[in-house]
Amino acid sequence: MPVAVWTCHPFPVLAAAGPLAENRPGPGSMHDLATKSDGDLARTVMSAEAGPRRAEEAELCRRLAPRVRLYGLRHLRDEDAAGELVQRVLLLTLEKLRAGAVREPERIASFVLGAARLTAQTLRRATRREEPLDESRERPDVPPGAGPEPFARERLAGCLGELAERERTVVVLTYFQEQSTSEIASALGLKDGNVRVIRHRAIGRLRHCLGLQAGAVA
Amino acid sequence: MSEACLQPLSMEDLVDYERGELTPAASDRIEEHFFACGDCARRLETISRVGAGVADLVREGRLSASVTVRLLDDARERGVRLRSYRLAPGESVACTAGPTDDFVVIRLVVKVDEGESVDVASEVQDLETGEAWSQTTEDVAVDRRGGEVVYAFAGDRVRSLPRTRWTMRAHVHGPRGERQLGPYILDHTPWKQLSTRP
Repeated sequence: MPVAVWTCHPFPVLAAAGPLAENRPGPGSMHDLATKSDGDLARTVMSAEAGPRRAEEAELCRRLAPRVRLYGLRHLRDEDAAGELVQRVLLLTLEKLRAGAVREPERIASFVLGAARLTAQTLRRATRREEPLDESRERPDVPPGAGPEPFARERLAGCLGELAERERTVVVLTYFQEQSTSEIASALGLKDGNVRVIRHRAIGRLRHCLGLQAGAVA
Repeated sequence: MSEACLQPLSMEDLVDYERGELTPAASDRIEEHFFACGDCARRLETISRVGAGVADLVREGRLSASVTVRLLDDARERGVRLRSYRLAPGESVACTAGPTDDFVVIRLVVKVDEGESVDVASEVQDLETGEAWSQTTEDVAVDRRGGEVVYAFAGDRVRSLPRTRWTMRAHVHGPRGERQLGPYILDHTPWKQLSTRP
């Protein structure tokens, strides 16, 4: 299998998780991998007799990295910290899978969520104590393509321009100023529920305008 | 998983989760779902991307919107360059957009009561050609704390204007009927014309 399958986490993840005996592909094509469940992929990676499965690991990382990142953004409120969380959690997941130490591989998502919760706590504690992150460990390197692609600014600006004035205001106060629903409601003389409805409607219209409705995002 | 989600999370829940406005129990439920569901994780990601894109556009001075006074203060603290004009009803002001202004902010004093909404009607005249046009922005957000409509215009947009006079009026609607406030008059001169005047 060519190295190009590592769209999510290239060699450093593997190197940190343990040496590869050989670059052995999984049994199917990339199309086959895409149709497999997360649990199927985890089971394949765990199967000791098969040895390391680079393609399956890559596919698992490709799927899980955005979910861990979203968790990190929500709980750590910082892009760099969320990136650090992705690295640590995926590294731990690969290590545990290869060691056969995941009890229920068919519930790999739960394992990863648990790891994300614990690791986020560790990162928060380290930040509070202003401890430097452990740089002695080999660190996986997420290429730029692993994060979400930015929108074309002009397109997003155009879509925002099509919103009703009040919708645009609520969206700006929410995402630039990071104001809560209650704060926005108080500032604009609205009820909390109204702000939620306006924001939800605005985001729905933006997703539609940007072509990001269900199924439209790779 | 590659198959479509049979019980997708609602957009409301995803937005509230992303904003950190759910109870811990509800937040846990959302996380358990989207960690096991690629579809919902992608929908959550689009919300996150839209939010990041909006914040970037404001930082870059590329988005015109009615906002609040507090947002202006926050924006200044983050290095956004603002040129601000505040007008009470009946006042007029000479205004411009400097070459480095990210936003030109027009603050219209509009005292409103609870339950009242505001439309802002603008008559615009090109002072070089005499051409005139009008526009109305309905249901403009009012900063209730300061009693102002705070409109942040993208600097580039204002810099592209010729010499113009903007005559604005606020139409206030509410349970007790309608009233009009204004006019608020803005005499805009391009920066270059100001700097070349004797």
